[in-house]
Amino acid sequence: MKELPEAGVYEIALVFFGSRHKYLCEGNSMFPTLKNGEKVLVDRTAEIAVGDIVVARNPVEQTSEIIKRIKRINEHGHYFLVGDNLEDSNDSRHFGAVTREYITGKVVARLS
Amino acid sequence: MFESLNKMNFEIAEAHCDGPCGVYDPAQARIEAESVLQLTKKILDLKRPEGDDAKAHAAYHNTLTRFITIKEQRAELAKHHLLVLWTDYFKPAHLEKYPELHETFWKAAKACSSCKQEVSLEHAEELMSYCQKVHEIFWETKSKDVAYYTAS
Repeated sequence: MKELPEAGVYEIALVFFGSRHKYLCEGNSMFPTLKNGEKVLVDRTAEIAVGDIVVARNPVEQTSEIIKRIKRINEHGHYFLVGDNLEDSNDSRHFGAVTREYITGKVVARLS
Repeated sequence: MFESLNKMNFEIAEAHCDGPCGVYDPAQARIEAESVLQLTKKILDLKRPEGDDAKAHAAYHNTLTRFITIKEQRAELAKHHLLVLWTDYFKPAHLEKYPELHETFWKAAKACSSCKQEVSLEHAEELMSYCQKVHEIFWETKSKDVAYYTAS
């Protein structure tokens, strides 16, 4: 499983230039990688691949966004998103794989 | 720089654990509230039989008991559907936009209780007005223009 680095000065500076977006992780579906209340930085232009943690529009409630890991990309090019906490996550196992448009950005660093 | 960053607003990425189907509609609560209103009217309109006809009295009590039982059940269902919307659908961001949200749901739930305790047209109509308020806020959050209507 890919590690999530701590944000350095460079990443934080990019927030002020609008190239990184700050998110607060609510809930435990990404535990133990991300704990409830942990803050992360998101790059909305980064290339995404299997194993990346991403923020995506919630397909069942489109006004909200969710944070999950890309488990695989299926034959249609759709992204199967799963929480690291398999016991306690509502994800593509329930709502199916999502198209690329649903994915808002890649989580690139955590804020300590 | 770290400190000034922490003072800025963060967007929310949900990592919630429950498995919501995401299907919500305040119509569920409104339909139950409407039943409460209609049953309240029926109870108030029910005529007590004159004389000592045992059969007529039995029929009267049977009908009255059924009306009361159903009013009780429907008021409980209305409260349940309102609480589901309040606790599962609405998020802190909605509260910022609709500061009256908590009070509306709180009063609506209280009205459900009053409708059970009493035979009160006033409280049943009050419950309906809260259901309409919830309808208006809910569909506004969905950016959908859904006109409020009643079935009766």
